[in-house]
Amino acid sequence: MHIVISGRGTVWPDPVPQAHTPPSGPAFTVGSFDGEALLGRRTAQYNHRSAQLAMVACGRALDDAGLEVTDENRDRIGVTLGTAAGSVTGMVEFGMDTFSQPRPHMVAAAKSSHCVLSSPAGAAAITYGLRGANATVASGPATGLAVLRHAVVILRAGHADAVLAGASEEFTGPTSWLARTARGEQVQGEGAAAFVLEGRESARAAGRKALAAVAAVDVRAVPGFSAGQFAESVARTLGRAGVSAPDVSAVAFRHTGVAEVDEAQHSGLARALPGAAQVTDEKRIGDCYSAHALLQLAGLLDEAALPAVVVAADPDGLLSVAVLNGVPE
Amino acid sequence: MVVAVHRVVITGLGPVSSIGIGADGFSHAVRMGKSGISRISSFDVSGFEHQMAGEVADFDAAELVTRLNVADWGRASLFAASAARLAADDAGLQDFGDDTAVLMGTTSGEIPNVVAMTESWHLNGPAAPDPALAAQLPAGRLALAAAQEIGATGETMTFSAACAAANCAIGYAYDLVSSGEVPVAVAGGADAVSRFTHAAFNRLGALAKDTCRPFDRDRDGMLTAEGGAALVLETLESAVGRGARIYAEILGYAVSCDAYHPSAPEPKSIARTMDTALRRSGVTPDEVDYICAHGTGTRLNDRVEAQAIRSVYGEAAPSVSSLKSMLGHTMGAASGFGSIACALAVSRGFIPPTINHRHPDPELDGIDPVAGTTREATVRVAQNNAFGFGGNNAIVLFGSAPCTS
Repeated sequence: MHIVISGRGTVWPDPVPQAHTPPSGPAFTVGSFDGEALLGRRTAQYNHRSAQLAMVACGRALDDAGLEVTDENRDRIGVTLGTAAGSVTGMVEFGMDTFSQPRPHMVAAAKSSHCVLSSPAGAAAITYGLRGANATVASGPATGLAVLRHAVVILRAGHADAVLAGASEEFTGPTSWLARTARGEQVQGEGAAAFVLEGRESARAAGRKALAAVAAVDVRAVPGFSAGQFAESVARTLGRAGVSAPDVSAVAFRHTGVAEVDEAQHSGLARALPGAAQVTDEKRIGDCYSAHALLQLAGLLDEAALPAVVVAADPDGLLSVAVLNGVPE
Repeated sequence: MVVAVHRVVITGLGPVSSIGIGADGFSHAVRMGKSGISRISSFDVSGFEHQMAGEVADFDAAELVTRLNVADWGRASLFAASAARLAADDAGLQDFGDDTAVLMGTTSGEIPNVVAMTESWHLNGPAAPDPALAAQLPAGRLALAAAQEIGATGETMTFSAACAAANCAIGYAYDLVSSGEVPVAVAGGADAVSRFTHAAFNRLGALAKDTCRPFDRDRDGMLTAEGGAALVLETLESAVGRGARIYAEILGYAVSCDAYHPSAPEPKSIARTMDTALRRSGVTPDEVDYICAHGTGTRLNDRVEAQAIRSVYGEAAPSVSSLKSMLGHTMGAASGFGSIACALAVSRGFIPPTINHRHPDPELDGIDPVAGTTREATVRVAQNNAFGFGGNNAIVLFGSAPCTS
């Protein structure tokens, strides 16, 4: 079964980074984002910023695909969203009351779902009426590609006919303090990207244009990072996708902030894909961490730079490679 | 629908629970109807209205893992890694490599680390958090911990689907193995008791005063709990080829979402998921001998679950029991423990009890909760239910080990 992308939705950060008060640093933020206006006051009140960003991207992807959700198809449309660790800010906003209130259980009930990593996927399902397979994937900076992989497996196994696959990253107080501590002083970013994935025949039958084929996605634990490791992973995934290296027009990746990993990544990708343009997007969106790979994918689709490879390495020990291919009309 | 090319069997169990650690310890405790509930000791519970939980009080990861440096990992990741180690050893497998997938489910990941950071921000105001706490926080590290502990370098992912997370991970592992993507997968779930989770359920009015009594007329709620659960899934050919002990076969599963309410379950949607799971597994309702319930012990869950079971099974519903009567609600690990219990039920011929059950609830007419003590019985097919916040439903079906002689 060939899986294609038939819709994309994005929430891009503003193109110029803004300064923020320490312990936050400068960041590319979605300055004009108004969850209340976009999703309604009630939805905005129950959901943290990560969830709101993801939900808006999901809505835009459905619109872009022209996929109308009806009683006939809602049971067969799934949602897979990605996150690194949920909304840390959402958890802190909820949990601070356990320390500051007279009794620790006097917390805001409406924010209790902030403690659950999967709350954005459930909220997106409620907002758009999607009753199919619903899941959340957490794989650090490889999250976006893991989301694609999950959606592909769910579609191939016949659990759903279409999957909204997306990831978001928020720039808010505690989340940004944490990111700066864990990943160094890179300029952070926030945003979201979501895609409608479905079988090629399903898209064709419904008259939806396939923007790209998700030809192969590989997400695996690695014992360490070397140039050879990157080159082999790319070569293996290209092999599974049936795409030859000289045909690849662009390879998108993210700097991890760990010097040895980034050196291995640079030389490994140059070795595996000598003719491909290298894209990091960091000067345009900062480091959007768990949403970075999918925002990059959206950018590659905008530029019609196919076939393309997206790579995401997590220095904790995860390496992920996706190969996107063009789909003949 | 894609036809499965391989039959998938369970060859290793790794429970790290408040009532027992390891397959035999856990099996014995479940048969005995042991309770793992105690007063919370992992955080200061003194001001809370409700103070009981199912903590794994004697959990010492250093005694269980052989490769990880315990100081580098959070509690939930160590539950996941310890469970994976136990499951791998139980399966008699040592050499994991590129073709072993590791999938772990969780509700809240390393939320105790967020609690610690929040307390420090409460006391000292905004500041960079403790680097060690920050480094351990990403939820993706749960599956990574398990993979690194057993030396697996195949597909590795952490899932959340609220409290249906482990079934989602096990189901995904089933898809990978049955379709021939990998011959072996280790899958399950893990979560740690935390101040925030406890406060959330307390505030929602979902916590029992001191005892969890699923399906009882006087049930008054759930208890928060923790643990890690992992299972080894492999193709039947692989298991038979190496002469492995087979606990059970995974027949199939279904996942869905209510798309209805952030926390309340919905009976029609749950019934639809049961129907789909049965259909995908090629099983008819009369073949199912046991349902390992989600059975949280809240008034609402047990009523909705019973209603869904009756709508699918009619008057002849199989026995239904809840492990949460013993363990409390172990969140993302819960359906992992349920899957382990189902594998034990079909392989060892017993139905786990619902302990603390004193009075039948007339509203739950037609549900046999296996009150009080274990029942010795042949279990041909067992169904493991899991529902979560956000309307996540995941149901897995287990059958007895295929006859291979």
